[in-house]
Amino acid sequence: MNGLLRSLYVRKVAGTSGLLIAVLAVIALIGAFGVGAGSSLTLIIPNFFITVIVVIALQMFTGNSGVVSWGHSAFVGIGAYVTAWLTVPTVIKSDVFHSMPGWLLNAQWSFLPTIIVGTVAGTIVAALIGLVLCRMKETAMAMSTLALLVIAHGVYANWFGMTRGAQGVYGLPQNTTLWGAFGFACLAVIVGVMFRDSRVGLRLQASREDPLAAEATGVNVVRARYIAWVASAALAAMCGSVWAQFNLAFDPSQFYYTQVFAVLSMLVIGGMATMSGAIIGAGVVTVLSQILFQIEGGSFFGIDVPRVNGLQQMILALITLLILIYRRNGILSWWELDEWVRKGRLRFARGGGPRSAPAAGDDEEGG
Amino acid sequence: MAAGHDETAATTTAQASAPTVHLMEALNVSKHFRGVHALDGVSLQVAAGEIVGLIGPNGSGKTTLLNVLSGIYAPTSGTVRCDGREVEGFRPNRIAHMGVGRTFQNIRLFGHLTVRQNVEVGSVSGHASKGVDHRADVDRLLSRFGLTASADVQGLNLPYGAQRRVEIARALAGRPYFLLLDEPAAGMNETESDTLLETIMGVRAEFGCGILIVDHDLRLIMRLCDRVHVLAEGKTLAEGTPEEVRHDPTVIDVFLGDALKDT
Repeated sequence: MNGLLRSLYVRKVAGTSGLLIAVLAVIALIGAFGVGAGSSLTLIIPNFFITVIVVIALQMFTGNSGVVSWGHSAFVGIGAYVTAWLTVPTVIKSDVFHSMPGWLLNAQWSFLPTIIVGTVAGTIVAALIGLVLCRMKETAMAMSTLALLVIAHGVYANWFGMTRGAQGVYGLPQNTTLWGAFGFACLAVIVGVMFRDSRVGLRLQASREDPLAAEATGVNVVRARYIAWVASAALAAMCGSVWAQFNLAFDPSQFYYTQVFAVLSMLVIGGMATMSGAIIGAGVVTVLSQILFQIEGGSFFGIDVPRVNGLQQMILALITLLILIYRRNGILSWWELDEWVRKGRLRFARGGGPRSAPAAGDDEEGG
Repeated sequence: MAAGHDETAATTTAQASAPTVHLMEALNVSKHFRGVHALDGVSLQVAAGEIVGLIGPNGSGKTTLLNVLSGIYAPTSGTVRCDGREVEGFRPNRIAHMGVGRTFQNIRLFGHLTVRQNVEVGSVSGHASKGVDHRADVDRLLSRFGLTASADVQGLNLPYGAQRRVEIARALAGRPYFLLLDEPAAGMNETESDTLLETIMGVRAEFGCGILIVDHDLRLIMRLCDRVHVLAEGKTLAEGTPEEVRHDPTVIDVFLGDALKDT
């Protein structure tokens, strides 16, 4: 890669991730200074950042490859359990983890080393599974990720001595702060954008569009998918580790279908192809869930409304469906936020020329 | 697999005398699909710098042969050689890395990627992608094929003719020694097909690659090709210069009929 190309790549990555990080920073500042101590936003905002990490993880693989992964919750779980093993105080550990080896019982790791080990653990598992998974055809691979989810859940729910089974794990120290979550979300944004705009990312997107033509053009599709699979699982495991140190207790049901569907719906709503889409999808779903949660509880900004259980899930499913029908590439479709801004400006400068809209015709390919 | 060597002499055009000339050859290649003999002992050579036409009626195995040559199918029997190396059964991407580029009958662009990205994929994934100034390469190809203005348009939003050009530019971006074109003139009128002829001639002159072209447009094939290979029901019916093929009684009688007399 020559200097010019590298500088263009850096500029492109900086342009996209810069704007997205700025948006996240505004949210973080609101979380730090704009809300009272008792506000639910002190929980919602860090959780949003953590969600951003896992949505980006899934975008890296599914968004670029076009192969749906149902299995990423498994890697979030690995990150979370490894984190519990390394951080829970020894006193609680001897009570919670019956078959834990002595050297691990005494482990009392701090925030960053724990996240690194949690991430590496997820990466290793993904690297082994990926060897088999990435050789499969698209549909077979998607089905196998579903199998992976079920198997992983089976392990978490039944490896009693190390996971305490369905009762779950507790006693993790609260190491993840608002700024910690923000920092890791930014890291995820940068990694995600760098990957998407890299050569491997480009090859993988080509294989998403047409695997056969990509191969005939010289793309090693298996290799591109494998790299994306491992990298995105690493981010998912990192997310699990950050989340576990914020949530402090968890059980296997938190790494299962519900979570996978939630993350997938965020991707679908925001737009799978872009990092901005992933983040906006996460934002939209987070805000909606909070509003719906209030309504479910029988109050909407102080007004009494009838209680409807399951309203959150129903409305989210409905919105996902509507997006799939009317805007099937998601809110942002194929362009990053900075590209929308740039092209919007262009249109403004030209006095609203008809062909300058970035989305001109992008949704018309139909079903 | 010595059968088919008797035709080797026929491959040589002026360029073939140089010892370093790139040569792609199918030797006695057969491809059977559950008993259907799509290809039956076909041998064919393409050397760098020559344009070979592959014609025949529908179902005669033209696209199957292209798919075998580009690694999409592994042949049931026979050998495919790329510069002397046996490559049959290799994955398409490995064959692409041996210097084989191709286009598809039903255009297969990376639809949601921009035109620039389409060509870029070819540039960074081709066989000679190390130490290349990809950006300059892509820019040059885009302007060569009149695509500079639409560089940032998604492939699927281009008109048909431009999509064809993107596909050729993408294949050439990998700096192939051999370019396989599957019905590039399909759906084109005479003017467009004349432009295409000039484009392909220009590609040979500029890139020096050997070109194997499948098409039903005999007017194009007969004017463009150094040699023409005629397939019928998976077998070689005739092979030679356009002039020889045009006058070959079997070719005329069996299936070309009046089509050639008009050209």
